[in-house]
Amino acid sequence: MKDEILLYARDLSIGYHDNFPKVIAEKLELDLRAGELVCLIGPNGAGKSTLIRTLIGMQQPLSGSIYLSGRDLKDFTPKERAKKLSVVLTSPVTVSHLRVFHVVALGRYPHTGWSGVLSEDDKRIVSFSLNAVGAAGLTSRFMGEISDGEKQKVMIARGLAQDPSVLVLDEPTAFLDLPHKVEIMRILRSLSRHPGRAVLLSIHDLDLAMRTADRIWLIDKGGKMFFGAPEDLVLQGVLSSAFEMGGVHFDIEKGTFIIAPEERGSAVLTGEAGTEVELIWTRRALERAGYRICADEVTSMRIDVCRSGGSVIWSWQNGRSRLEFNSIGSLVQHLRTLPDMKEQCKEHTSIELLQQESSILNECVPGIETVIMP
Amino acid sequence: MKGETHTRKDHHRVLILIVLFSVAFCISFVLDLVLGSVDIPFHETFSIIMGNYVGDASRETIIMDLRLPRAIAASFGGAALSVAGLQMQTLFRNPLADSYILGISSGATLGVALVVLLAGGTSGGTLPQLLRSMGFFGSATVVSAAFLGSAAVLMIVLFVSRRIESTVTILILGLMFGYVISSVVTVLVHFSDPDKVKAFSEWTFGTFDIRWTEVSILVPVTAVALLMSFLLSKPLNALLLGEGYAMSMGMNFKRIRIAIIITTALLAGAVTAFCGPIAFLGVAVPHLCRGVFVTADHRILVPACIIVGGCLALLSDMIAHLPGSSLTLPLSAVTSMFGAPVVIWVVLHGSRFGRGVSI
Repeated sequence: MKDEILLYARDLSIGYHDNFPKVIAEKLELDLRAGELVCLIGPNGAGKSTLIRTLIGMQQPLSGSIYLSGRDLKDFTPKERAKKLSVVLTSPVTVSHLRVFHVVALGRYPHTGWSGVLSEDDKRIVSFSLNAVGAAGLTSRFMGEISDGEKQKVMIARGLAQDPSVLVLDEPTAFLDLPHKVEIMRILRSLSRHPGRAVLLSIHDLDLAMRTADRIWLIDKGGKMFFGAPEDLVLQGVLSSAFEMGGVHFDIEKGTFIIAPEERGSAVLTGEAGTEVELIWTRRALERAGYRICADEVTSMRIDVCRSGGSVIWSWQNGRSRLEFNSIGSLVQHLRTLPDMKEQCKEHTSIELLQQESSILNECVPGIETVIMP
Repeated sequence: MKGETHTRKDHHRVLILIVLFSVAFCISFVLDLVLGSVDIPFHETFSIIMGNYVGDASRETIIMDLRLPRAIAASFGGAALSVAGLQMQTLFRNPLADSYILGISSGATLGVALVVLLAGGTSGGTLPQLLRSMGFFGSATVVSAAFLGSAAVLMIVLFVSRRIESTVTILILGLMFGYVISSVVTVLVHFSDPDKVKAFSEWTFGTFDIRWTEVSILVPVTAVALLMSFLLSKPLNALLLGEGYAMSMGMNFKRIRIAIIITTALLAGAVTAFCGPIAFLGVAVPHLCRGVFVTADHRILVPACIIVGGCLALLSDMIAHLPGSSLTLPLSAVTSMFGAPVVIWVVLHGSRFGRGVSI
């Protein structure tokens, strides 16, 4: 169904025209359909912002065309375009002496007369937009008084007040903490469910994009673009290859990027029944500390999680030495003080290792409840 | 609804403040007529203006030919500089921008410096004497020189800004023009006759002491530009969110930017040509209005700047003429000396937004 496609680009090349054209990506065929939330992702410098700026008409394409509601974007006057497409930018908003209501009311710009006086309809749309992003409580606050997360909601409400069919946001979650990021994504997702509207946003936070987007547009460093449901892109291995770089790799099982720490050794992790949640987080902590979790008994290090009374005890055992900890933090802190297992195996005998460990144990290690010396 | 009541309260406060400042403006205007080296009582002033005064002809001359044009020039001059400053602060989103940021005053200064310092004329003394010695041209020469100087700088800025995307670049270009021109002026001053330098520096202090012929040009030009500025309120409001947002909301940015620059040029250029570079009002009055009216909405700020700017210019003019004495102080010194504490108070007093200023 062609009428469902709100924004599309054909044979689009984007880039800059300085002295000679610098092509960032070419031969792009893009479709944005009504009712969907699309996340544009890609490593830094791949051209996310250039693509966004080109699609919203702030930058000329090098070649090719963009169509908004079936009409070439070039044929729109700025005002006509603003009625179809609204934008939330990354640039910070510095105005302070203006009430939130009036900032959102600026979204009615393309709909009001020369003086910007609001009709009753306009006022209703402004209030509706504030409600839609959950910012109705901010209506009469001044912009100078509210937090960054609240400002972002206000700017989204302003975009909504333009009553667009396409809402484009350039990194709306940048500078926000995780709960606010999630909230903004939830709002955008609900906005995209409105009939006849689509939301396109660029985002750095892959995990969030994968959990929220209906479709992903992925642009890699070479300007090559991939499209599809997040899960398809994962299975095709596109996601991992686009972002792969030293020290970071994509964990296909978890669906996130992890910092691959230098591997320090391996450990066996066991736990009694009822400690499943603790095991998940202990595993994460151990991986973070550089220990691979293995099932077999090749390694001599064992970590066991058990409950005693109301509290959880992590017991660590290596050869004959055994320690108990009352938190993951103190366990990891202890692991960090251990010499690298691989190197130790190469360079030291087991006796030296034992001596070294006992010398460490003699030092005060916070968090240790019981020390059972061999 | 909560938002509605706030909006209504805002409207009431703005209305009350506008009325208060209008009354203050009227009082300042009358005081500027009444007070001076010769105090002329209010009822006499009134009957002189009404045209039914019978008595001392010199008093009639003082009021009709000196003080009335001066008060009108101060009203329009103050309003023009304040609105020009407001527009520049919004366009450049820079709280330090003023009506002269585009190099208007430095252009005018160069024009006047060339005429006064380089032109012939043997006798020294004050500017009027110097001008008389230059014969036929008189003050019209200085006005034209100032006008041509500021127009030349503006043409360059306009020409450049048509091709430049970044507004910050225009700001920096304006500043750089200013530096280059003032260095040229410094060189001219350095090699000039001290009497001429004195005459020139008197011009740089600024004054509202102008005649009817000049007022008859200043008033229509600034009135039209002030109206234009008010008509630009909506795009100016959109610019508060930044150029990108303004464009995305359907504003034709380049056209609006040219309109704002031309309006500013007319406002600041006309005042500078006739009254010289007057410091401070352009940067201070917009901040004062934002702080007092607690809004950034240009539909309120433009009229507010007109009234408050006019009022402060009249008060400064009054103080500069030191009522009861025949001495006068340099106008720019007065505007800064009495205006700075007001702005410092506004800035330090802060508001719900914390200390400091913002646009």
